[in-house]
Amino acid sequence: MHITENQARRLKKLADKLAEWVITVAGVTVIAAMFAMLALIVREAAPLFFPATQRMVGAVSLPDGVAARDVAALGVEGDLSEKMRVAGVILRDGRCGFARLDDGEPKGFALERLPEAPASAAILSVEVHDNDKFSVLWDDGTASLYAMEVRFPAGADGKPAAAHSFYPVFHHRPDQAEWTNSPPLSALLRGDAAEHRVVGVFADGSVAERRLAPGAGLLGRSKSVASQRTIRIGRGGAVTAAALSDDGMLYMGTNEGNLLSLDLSGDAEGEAASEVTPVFRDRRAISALVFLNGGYAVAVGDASGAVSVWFPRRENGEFRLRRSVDWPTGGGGVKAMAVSGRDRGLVALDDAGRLRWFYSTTGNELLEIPASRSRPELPALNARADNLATLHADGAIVFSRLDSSYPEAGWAGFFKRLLYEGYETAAYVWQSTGSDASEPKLSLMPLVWGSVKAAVFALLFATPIALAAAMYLSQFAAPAFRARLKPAVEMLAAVPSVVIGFIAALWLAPLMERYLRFFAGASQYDQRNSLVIAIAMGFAVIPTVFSLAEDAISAVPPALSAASLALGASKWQTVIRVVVPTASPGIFTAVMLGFGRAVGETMIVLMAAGNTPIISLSPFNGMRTLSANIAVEMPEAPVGGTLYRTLFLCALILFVLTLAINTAAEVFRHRLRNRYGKV
Amino acid sequence: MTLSMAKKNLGKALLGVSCLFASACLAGDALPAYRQQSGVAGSVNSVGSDTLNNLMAYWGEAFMAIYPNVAVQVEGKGSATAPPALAAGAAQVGPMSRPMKGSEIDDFEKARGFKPTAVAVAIDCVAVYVNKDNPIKGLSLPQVDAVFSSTRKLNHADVTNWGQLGLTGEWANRNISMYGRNAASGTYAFFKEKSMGNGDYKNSVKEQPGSAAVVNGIAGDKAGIGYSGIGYRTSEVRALPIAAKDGAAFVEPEFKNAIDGSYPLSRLLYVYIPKDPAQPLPAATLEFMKFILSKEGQELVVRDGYGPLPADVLREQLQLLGAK
Repeated sequence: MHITENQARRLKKLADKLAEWVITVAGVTVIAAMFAMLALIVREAAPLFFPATQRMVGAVSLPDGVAARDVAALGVEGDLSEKMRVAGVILRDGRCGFARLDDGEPKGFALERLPEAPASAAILSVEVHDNDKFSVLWDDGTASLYAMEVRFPAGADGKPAAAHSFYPVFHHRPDQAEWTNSPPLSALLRGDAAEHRVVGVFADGSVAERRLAPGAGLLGRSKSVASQRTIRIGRGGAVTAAALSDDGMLYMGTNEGNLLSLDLSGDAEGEAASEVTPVFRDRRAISALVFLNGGYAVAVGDASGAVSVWFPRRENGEFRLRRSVDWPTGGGGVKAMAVSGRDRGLVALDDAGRLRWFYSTTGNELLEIPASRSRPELPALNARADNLATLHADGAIVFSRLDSSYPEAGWAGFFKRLLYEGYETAAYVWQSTGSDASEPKLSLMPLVWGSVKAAVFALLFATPIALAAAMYLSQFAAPAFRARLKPAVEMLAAVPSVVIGFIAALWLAPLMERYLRFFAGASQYDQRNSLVIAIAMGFAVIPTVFSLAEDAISAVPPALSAASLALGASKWQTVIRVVVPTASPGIFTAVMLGFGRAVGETMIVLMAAGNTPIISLSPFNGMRTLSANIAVEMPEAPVGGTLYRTLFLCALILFVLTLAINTAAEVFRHRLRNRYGKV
Repeated sequence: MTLSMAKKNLGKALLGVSCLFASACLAGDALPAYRQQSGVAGSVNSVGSDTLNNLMAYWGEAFMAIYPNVAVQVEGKGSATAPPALAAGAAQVGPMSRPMKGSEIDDFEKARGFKPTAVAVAIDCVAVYVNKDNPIKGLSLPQVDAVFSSTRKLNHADVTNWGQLGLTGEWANRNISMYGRNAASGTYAFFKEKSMGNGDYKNSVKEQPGSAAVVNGIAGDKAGIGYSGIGYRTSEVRALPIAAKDGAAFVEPEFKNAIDGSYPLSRLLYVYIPKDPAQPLPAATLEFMKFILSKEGQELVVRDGYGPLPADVLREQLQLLGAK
């Protein structure tokens, strides 16, 4: 077929149009993809900084003839689809019942006597632990542990139904009538029928412990060992509140502002170490005491309405009970507290009816839960701490939905020095956790430090070598040689960083340890340390810096150096006084871009830096960088969890860091060019 | 279930194991052999514990040899990876070297509508390894705590060099170089709970992605010390005997000591399965679990260096599967 000139022109135009269109789309796509990625990262990380929220869901009234003051204890549970909520109630007369809220619809409830309750006995006190365990002390001297079990099995119609009960775990009946004649303030029961501990706390500061333990060894099941002891501290005032951890640490608060501690963890016959810690100078009474999740830190509510958190901290080699945070007075004494079973959150209710929600790790007050209806008298949380029930003076049980929204995160969690449980001083610590019992520690400072340290060390190694090589090749080497060598050096960039990391970790690190350990002297020498990283990552950075610097130096007009040489300057003088200053904007950009490359590098640091999140200047310590942290922690981060979002935040910081470095490089380059580059 | 209860249950399970093991041995009770079923096909994906990784691979190979139509795939990056994979349906079995956390059970239940089932599959001693050239006899738990922990809740003076643990000569001034697992590891969590009273690791503990990496690190580092499951023992490292208290007798990490409770760092290893109470397990998953709990499966446990479960316990575990 013959194509006319006209047709050919049109075809050319069409091709032109098409090419323009394709190229435009590609260009815009790249830019759009970058913004989309940034938006995604921001979207995933942003909820970390959202405030906690609460929402009242509904209320159920106590049955007729039962008043709020008849209620001894309260428990709450909700199903995961958030359709049903159940509150368990134990009355002082020994009856119990469940209030239900189905899809916001209140269901009245029937009362019945607690199973296996001693005949015609009434309840003196109830202690709640683990959100669903109730230690009940009866006025006939019996102590019983009840567990509240609430399940939401799927009903016939596929919707969840609720099955709930209080079931007795075990009962303890003291041999003599001692607990009937002068009943303890409260009885704290832990364990089950086969192995348990019963601790009676008396107002005068004496403690009676009864224990049943399976014997040690292979035949342990056949003979249980029962033991008992009575310990009298008798100092510090009258006991007003008590809390017992699973390990057997007993704290008692007194009316003179003292915290009595008694370590019941050792042998049942042995001495228990006791200590009196004055916690309030003004000797105000302690009105409520509860262990935070993990059983190490204890929250203290006092008569002024303030709440503080205390735990043992090492001071001069010995553990002493010390305060970590306190929240100032709310007005009126603290009446009751409820704790989360998943994190370090707690809810405190004071006499004025104010209900406040705190988080101990960060020291934040998450929220004040606004009072609804009449004054709240008793709060209860479920283990997940997403359901709150409050008993009100008018006999209503109000259900609220709580959303703590990543309380361990936020500005304080990421960037502030925090005093974590058991730590001697406040510190920046990254230690995402493996169990519910330990606090997640999410300070990003060690990671930012690690990224910057790794990059700085790499540049300290790479810059002199790369610049010297660039000067040599552009100014001193024979042109033919240069044409071959420059691509050769740039080939270095093609070596995958995983190969460099592999060599560094398995060959270089042990080699360096053999020769350099001596220089570390008495200080810590890690086999995978900053020097190894300097060399390994230096190699990854050299091609970037070299290539850009060489281009910059080569771009200096030959007329300049020729003039300098003609005026009698030596080759070296010419390079250092004329060529390098002229090329300095380019050289600077090269170094900064090398820095940006080093900050984002992952494989080498992941493999050869030891991944220890340490803030230290020592070249003999390792580090953990933001990028390696994402790679290390990714598999263990459940989607939507705190760690998951924190890793997105790490990505965001990396992004911003590289962006800032590259922008700074540009700005400086412009300045330097204005100064030196006017040729 | 709260952690404290889980802890107690673990202790009790081990105690139960001890009693049962004694009776089983006395009675000469044989382990149930595996019987092949017909028409088993499909795939079994395993995501979870690195401690159990090799063992899962052994089980998978042996199982595929019995059922050529079944594909078993094993991925082991750490116990923490199991719950999300089970919840998302990406895995049919989730090996874990620790019990699930309350929050993990919550997330699973939210996704699937029922709670996961924990099946005990083997006994493990978490060993404290040192380089084979290290002359140290053994360590007490408070010493282990002082080496690894920044909070030192067992209240031993801080330990940073081998001299402080009683070594002399060239070892006296050598700094201790600690190797550990990353937080995804169940062993990491277990070690934190048992040997440091839920304290914190020093930030100078080098976190390794797998048990083998810990052992390799120690093999190549004279001053090294680290912890991992006993199944990863090699000739390049030595598993130290451990004393529960300062001054108490050292106890070797052996299964008889795990069973009678004298070795303080012993535990059960689990495989979690998403068993819907209203439905039977898929045939391939059910048979795989039955194989694990059979004589053949438990022989592989021994081959991988872990401790087999006694017959009575195996039967209890079989009942959890809902199989006849």
